Amino acid sequence: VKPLTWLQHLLDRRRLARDLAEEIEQHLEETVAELVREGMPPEQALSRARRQFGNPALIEQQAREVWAWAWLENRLSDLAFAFRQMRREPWFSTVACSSLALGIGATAVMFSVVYSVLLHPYPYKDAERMVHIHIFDHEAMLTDLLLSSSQFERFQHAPVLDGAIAMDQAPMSETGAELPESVLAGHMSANAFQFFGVAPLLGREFTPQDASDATHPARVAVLSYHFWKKHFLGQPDALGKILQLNRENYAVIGVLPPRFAWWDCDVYTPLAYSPDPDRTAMVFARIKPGISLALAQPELEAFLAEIALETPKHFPRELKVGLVPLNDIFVGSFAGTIYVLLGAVSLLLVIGCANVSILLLARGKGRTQELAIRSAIGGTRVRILTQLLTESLALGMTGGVLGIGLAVMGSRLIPRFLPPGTFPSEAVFGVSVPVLLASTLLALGTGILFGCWPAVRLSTPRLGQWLQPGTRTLTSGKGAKRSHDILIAGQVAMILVLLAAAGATVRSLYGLMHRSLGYDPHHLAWLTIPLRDGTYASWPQRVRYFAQVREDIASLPGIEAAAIAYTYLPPVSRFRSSAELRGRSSETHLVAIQQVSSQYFSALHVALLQGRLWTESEALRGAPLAVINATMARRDWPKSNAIGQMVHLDELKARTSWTLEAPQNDGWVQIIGVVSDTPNDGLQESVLPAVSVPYTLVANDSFDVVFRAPGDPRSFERAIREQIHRRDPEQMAGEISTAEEQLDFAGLARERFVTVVFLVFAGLGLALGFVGLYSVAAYTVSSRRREFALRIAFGAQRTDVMAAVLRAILPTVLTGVSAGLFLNFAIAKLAEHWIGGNVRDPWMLAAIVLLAITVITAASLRPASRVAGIDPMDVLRAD
Amino acid sequence: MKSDPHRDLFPGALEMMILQCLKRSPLHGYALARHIKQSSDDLLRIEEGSLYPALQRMLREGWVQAEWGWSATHRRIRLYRITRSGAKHLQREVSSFERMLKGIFQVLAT
Repeated sequence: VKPLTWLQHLLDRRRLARDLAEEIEQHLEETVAELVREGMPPEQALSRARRQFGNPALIEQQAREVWAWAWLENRLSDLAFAFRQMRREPWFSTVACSSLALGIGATAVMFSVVYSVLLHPYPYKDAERMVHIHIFDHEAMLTDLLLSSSQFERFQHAPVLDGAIAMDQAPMSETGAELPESVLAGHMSANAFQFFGVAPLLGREFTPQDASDATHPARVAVLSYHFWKKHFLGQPDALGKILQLNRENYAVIGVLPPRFAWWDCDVYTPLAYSPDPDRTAMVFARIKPGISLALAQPELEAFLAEIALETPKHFPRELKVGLVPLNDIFVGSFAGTIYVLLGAVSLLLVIGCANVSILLLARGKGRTQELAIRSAIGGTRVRILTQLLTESLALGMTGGVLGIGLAVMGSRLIPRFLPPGTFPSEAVFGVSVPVLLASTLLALGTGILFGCWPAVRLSTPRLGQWLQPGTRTLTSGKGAKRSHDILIAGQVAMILVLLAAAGATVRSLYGLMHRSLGYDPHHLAWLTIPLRDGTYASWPQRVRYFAQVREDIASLPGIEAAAIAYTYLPPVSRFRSSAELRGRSSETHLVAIQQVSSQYFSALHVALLQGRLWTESEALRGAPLAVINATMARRDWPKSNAIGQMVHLDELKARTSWTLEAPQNDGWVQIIGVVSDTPNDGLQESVLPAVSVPYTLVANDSFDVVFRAPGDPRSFERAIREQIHRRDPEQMAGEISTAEEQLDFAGLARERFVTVVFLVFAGLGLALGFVGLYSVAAYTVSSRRREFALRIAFGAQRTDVMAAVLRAILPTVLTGVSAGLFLNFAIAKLAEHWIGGNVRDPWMLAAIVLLAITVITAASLRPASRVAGIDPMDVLRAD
Repeated sequence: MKSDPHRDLFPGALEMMILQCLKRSPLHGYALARHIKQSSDDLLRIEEGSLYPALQRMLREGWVQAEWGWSATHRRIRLYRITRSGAKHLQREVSSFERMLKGIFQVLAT
């Protein structure tokens, strides 16, 4: 077939059909005319012409089918019929379409999460080859790779790399405003924007030309989208304006698109080349195409080992390199959870599909006569099958359109519900083209999936039985019942699996929320105070300044306690170190280090169990003292007293030029007290041994002030900023975060998210199951009306009839429940690993089995109670 | 189908004859039927109607073109014309048909 000719003819197929009809008409007329001319009477001539010609209608049909329009026309008329059918039965259509819409919509939303978080989170060029480079010592991860300027110059030409950038992220003080504001600046090597390959929204990005003088690059700034919106109200005239940072003027040259959110900086400026080998910056790289991480890793390790020889103190003794793809940083463990949720959502979809199958079968009962007539007047089995499948497809399409509508709305809400820290800021959620394609395929696929079974069953009509009203059977056919039973049992099983998962997440969330934390997270908050480059550059100056700021804040009316900390609030910790106990040099352990002031414990409401805390004067002199947690005391000195023991902390030293060590610090500290445990390795994990030391031993260029205040700690923001400003007019301060947010960030939010999602899924599944079983019960009851009427006529009680209905459904439900429990145990390991909690808890399982059976029994009893009230004579007379 | 009008012909024979007729001059359906009937001396039993599905097939393949015109007796007629690809097809079919016929005759002659 010539496609073009075919298409051309398809487009004006009406005209062609008309031509054909006219042509055949002409042919007959001409034959008649000739026969008449030969002397035949007209009537006889007409029938003779017909005989010669053959059946004109059939021939016309055959001629038209040459073009295969008929097939298409049949499908279109099937579809039109299907939609008419849907309109005729609004209740059925509403239930079926909303079952599908829910399933497809929820699945499409999960698709969009998978796509935007796992498959396509970053706007950067070749993002899948971009890596973070982690440095390890034995097993413990220490930092991202830090290199000095000259080392970076060498490193970026490593043979396995396809480019690298150096970056130093630091808060800068926006001077010129009333109170200095903290602006998070990313100082990036001049090649950075070429590396990322993301075009600016406005203006231009900086290039190597802006750093032609490498040590003094041009003072230009490229704004992030959110900073441009916040600070310049999204005005295009921001270009060319001057931004004063740390008393230097930077010209705004460009604005980045919303998805560029590298390290969530506010502004990006060129990184200055520094000849100082202690002046280091983080390094990120892209691996050459075709080179696996496993191949690149030893190569880079060797390359770096050579570079490390120049500045051995910046590197651990046993250098190990870990290459971490961009995506793993954020989603890491969450990826599995997302896939489990995708699995759960598919269960929901399958439950929805099963529902539609059940409904179709139930409705099919009422259509057997229609189908029998179709078959009697010559509809082939294939023809009826296509008709029925087209109807399913129509349902699938309607459900799909509604579902995609739901997904469009749903995916807009996702960022509000997804737990913080589990997806990168670069990700955008929405129904993108791939998601739309996947969802459409899903809708069509489900249409065929749920339509197949009922269609095959219904397309084999037993003509005689259905066309003769007198011989109708008392009870429904065995085959139809078996199909129903399998679908219902399967549905119940899947509902049970969802319920078990929901139950497990609820229990584990409850456990987390009631875990004894060892501190009081309410009314507790902190803010970061980053020093400006080169200020408070001597150790005594710096520690004195820290102490003064703490006192200033503690003296504010309403503040109950204030402390200095260079650590994160529980349930996580910032630093780990290997620790060596004096006299036991053979064993080293990993411990968490907390650099804090002595008020830290009282501010958090952490109890001192034994010994004492260091005094203010000991701190200011940099006395090498330490307080350990109960876990460490129990582990290392189970029988003896920990007080007075000496511990060496490898990481208690200055690694960079901007950290200052106490004069006599050598890493050895003496234990003077034991405090109670607080979680420091995440909410779900057990507590790590922890050593707290005075913040003065290693004074960083930034510190946090932790404070406790009644009511909302954020209401103290302005007062605190003013205090800091009074002490040093150019000193900036970061934003206030609360300890409760920290808990959310550390996993509580994620646990809550997973719990809510599973509760919603299980609830929807149960609701779908309810509707499905209700319709099955109604179907069973209506097909057994005559039987029930007879029973009642012979004296059966209302309860007997209801018991009969229950007896018909209960074994199926119980089979489903057992299958569900079996399935639950089969996948328990996997489920527990990714959603947390215990899906095998017997009490929880007992509760959900009870719930499922109650709901399902309720669904089937309602139609039963209706039939129990019928007047038997009405029914029996009706036939 | 039991009432297959092509029963006495092999597949493609009708098309071959139609193309052969059209090669001489463009014709409309009725004239084609007449022509085939007369020149075969009524040896072939062809239902006249079966011409039309065949003509549609040939239109689809692009072997013929059709346009409306007027007959000498002032009837509106649909005139079929052979195309270049139709002529090529005819040539191929005829030569393969002749070879087949020759083969059959040789076998029958032994």
